[in-house]
Amino acid sequence: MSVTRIASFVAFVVVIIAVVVVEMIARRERSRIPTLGDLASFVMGFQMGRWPIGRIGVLGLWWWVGWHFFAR
Amino acid sequence: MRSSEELSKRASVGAGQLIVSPSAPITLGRPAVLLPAGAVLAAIAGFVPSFSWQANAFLIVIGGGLFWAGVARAISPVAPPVRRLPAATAWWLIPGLGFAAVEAVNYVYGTVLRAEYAHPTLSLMADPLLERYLIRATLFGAWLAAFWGMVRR
Repeated sequence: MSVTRIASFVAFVVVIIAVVVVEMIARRERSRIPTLGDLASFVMGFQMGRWPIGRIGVLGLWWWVGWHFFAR
Repeated sequence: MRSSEELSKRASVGAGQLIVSPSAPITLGRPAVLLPAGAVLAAIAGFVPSFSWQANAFLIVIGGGLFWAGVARAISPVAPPVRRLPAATAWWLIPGLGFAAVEAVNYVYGTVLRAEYAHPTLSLMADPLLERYLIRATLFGAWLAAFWGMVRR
């Protein structure tokens, strides 16, 4: 296994740990940091006329992530 | 013909419930229904290998159906929508920009420039793991759980 592959793996693990840490802090009482659910709710609230572009974007991204990792 | 009492009972849809028909809402959102359904889908997904037409069809049908249900607001929310984000939202830039930077570097060096040493993107790293049934099924279940967590907001 090359050094760059190991470095990439470590970098991704650090990012995942950072996500978990920020989410845990956000879920504490009286935390000012919004949770991932709050972020999703905010983005999904965007509307253009009668088109829920926020929901289309967020759920489209979710769908694409699933297709990208499980199918392709 | 349904009685008015029966109609008024069915009209009171609780939070997080799937509305099949506005005139007669059916409660499909209970954990007793959703958890087994999600487990069955995840168990099936574990058997369907990546890069196959079966996987593409499975993701198009399941993902597409859930996408439509989410966009069409067929699932009633459990919490009021978030209208404003506080300044502390900036903390999410740390993991967000970190992920974007790592992925961009690996994509440029690994896929575009095809550098001498391996620079795998996250999906390339995940491919060998996703060949294992238990990991694949578990992550698919987590993907479904993420949908449910988002669409109820």
